[in-house]
Order: sequence, then C-alpha cells, then structure tokens
Amino acid sequence: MARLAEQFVCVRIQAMNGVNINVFRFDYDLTWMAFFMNADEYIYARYGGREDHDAESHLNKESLLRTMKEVLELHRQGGVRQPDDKAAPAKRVPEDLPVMREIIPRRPQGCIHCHDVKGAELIQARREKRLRKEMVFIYPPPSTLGVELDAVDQRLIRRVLARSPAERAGLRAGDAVLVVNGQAVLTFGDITHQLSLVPDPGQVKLTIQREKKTIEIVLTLPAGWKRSRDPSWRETLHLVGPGAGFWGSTLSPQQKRQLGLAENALAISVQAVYGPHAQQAGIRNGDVVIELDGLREDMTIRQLHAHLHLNRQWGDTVTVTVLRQHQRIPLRLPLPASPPPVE
Amino acid sequence: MLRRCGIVSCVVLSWAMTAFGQGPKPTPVEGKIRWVYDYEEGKRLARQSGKPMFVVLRCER
Repeated sequence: MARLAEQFVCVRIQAMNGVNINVFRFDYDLTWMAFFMNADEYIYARYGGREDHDAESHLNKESLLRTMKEVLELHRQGGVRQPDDKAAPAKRVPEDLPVMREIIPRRPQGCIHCHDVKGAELIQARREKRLRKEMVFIYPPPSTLGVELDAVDQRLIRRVLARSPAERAGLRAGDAVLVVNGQAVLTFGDITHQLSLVPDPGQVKLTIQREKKTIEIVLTLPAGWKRSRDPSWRETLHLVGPGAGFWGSTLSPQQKRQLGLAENALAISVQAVYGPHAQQAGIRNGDVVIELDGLREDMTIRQLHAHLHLNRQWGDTVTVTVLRQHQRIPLRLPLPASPPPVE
Repeated sequence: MLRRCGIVSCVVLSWAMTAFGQGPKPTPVEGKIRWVYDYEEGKRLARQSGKPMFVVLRCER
C-alpha cells in the first residue's frame, strides 16, 4: 500500500473547514471518504460509502489497491472520464452556509465535521420551510436498486434482490456495471455518487458487461426509492423528526427469556432519560420498553429513534409500553413540539 | 498592560481564524504513508510532480 501510495500526492483533510463542498461532494453522514483526482480537480474515482448493515461493507485494502492501480492507469492515459467533473465548479465552503456560523462556535477548536455540513443544509431547509424527511437519503446505496455489489470488484453485481427494480429490469448476478447515466464508474462510491443525481421517482440507465457483451438496461425507480432499509447509523436523522428522549440498550436473548419475552421481541432497557417529554411521560431508568408506536419487534435504540425521526412529526404523541417490576405499564409519550435549536 | 493586551489580541485572533475559515490545526497521523495536510499544497505538489492526488477526508477529532 505505502509503495503504491508513493505514486500519489496523499492529502489528508481532517476537518471540513475551508473545504470546497462543490468538489468534495459526498454523503456527509460518513466519517471517511476518499477522492482520486488530478491537480485540476478532475475526479478519477470516489472511494468510500457503505451499506446500512456495515460501516465497512465496501472499505477494504484489496478494493482500495485495485482502485489506486486503475486510477494510475487513467492518469497515465491523461483521460478525464467523468464529463460532469470536467469543469471545476466554483468554490463553496461550509462556512458559506448561514447556519454554519451558529454551529462553528459550538465545536471544539471550531472544527467542522462532515455531518455538520449536511446538518447545516437540513436546518437551513427547515428554516426555509422546504425540509422533507427524504432529504436524509440524498446518497442512496446501490442496494436501493436491489443489487448487492462485490466488496472488492465494486462494479460486479453479486446478487439481485427479488421483486426489486433491478430484478424487474433484468439485471443478473455476474453483471458488471460500467457506466451509470453516461458516467463511467470504478467503485461503490462512484455508483452512489451517480445515484445521488437521479430524481425520486426516476430512471437510471446502466451500461452492463454481461459475459463478453455490453448492454444497456434502464431501471424504473418508484417514489421513495432512495430510502434505504436501516438508516439508523445516520448522524443527521434527528434533524428531520422528533426522538424518543431516552437512551438504552437491547436486552440479550437470555435477559428476554428471564422476563418472559420472545427472542424477537422489542426489549430496550432504559439507561438515560434526557428528554423532558420522556420524563413527563413517566419513563424511568431501568424500565424495559417492549412497545413503542405500535412496534413490538426486536430493534436497537438507534433504530427505535430512527423510526420516530422518519415517521413522526414534531408534536405527535405515541404509545409506549414498559415493563417495570414485572408489570406492563402503558404510557403516552408526547414528542417535542418543535426541533431543538442548533446543537 | 501591554503584555495583557498582547495576550487578548492573540486569543481574539486565534478565535477569529478558527471561526472564519482557517480551521483547526492538523493532527499528523503515524504510518508509512507521507500525508500532506494542506489541500492547496497538495495540489501544488501534484502539479509539480505530475502525480495524481489521493485525497482522504476523515474527521479525526
């Protein structure tokens, strides 16, 4: 890796302060992203991104080395392969976002995190009354098409999910995605970037290599296609809807059995009640939440919050059932009437 | 008095640089890869050497 890296100028950006977000445009809920580019900011490849289930689903040494070699070859050929990146866009930095001026003084050393950029954009949208919950899903992972990409050869489709847009369009396991809407792609990050530009609902045209043939396939994507299955890892979710006001951890199967709960039952042990609304509802440390807003299946505390952020509005009231000293206690949880100020 | 004014000026200047674009100082990471922590310097080196750039964005604070 280090020997290959010597063939590049390796730049490490540790905070978003002063970064041109018109060039370094990516899913700002991520904590790691890489760009391969030339000195004129022509982008050869984007490396990074994830599927919901695993932060490192498509980050590994093999795929990074593979991408570095392919980029070196592109650079040697002098080819710029992504027409949308031919003209370097005008400089725009996070500090230009009006809300960012309120965020920066709250950060140690004034450090702007990646998720602060998305957060500032969402808060600004809210203030301008154009915020939609779907804005959380700007960068849809390829699984939203119904394909599972190989972790190393990231253009290769490993699996096509049943009843998905990909299956309906005729994609198959073993197909390799070469081009997305006219843009050549090398990586999972490239594909995700191109998908971010597709409207919702919309269509996406893929050029596929199948055995020795090159074919074009158009996928029709229904309304809401960008919403992925489990976005609970996203740092900015709390900006689009209310949260539960408490934190806790999922009980183990053994702990559930001891309480007479099924293994797949919701069972979250409350460890901190920080929201005045949750305190007002009567939720206490040590309670075990076994139902919330009609949900009774097993989930993590992050997934529970994600459900509320994405499906409930500020000021809604939801039901909660807790187990307290072996008694089932139904409660009503009034969610905050308005979002918190900038955090 | 002058010394106190100097300290206050430094604090204000430091705050102003942080608040308006200069950003926090980089924290060098250990390892075999030689990183450049200034993007504009990276572009200059890339132009000078003819090498492509490998730019990593990683919140490390």
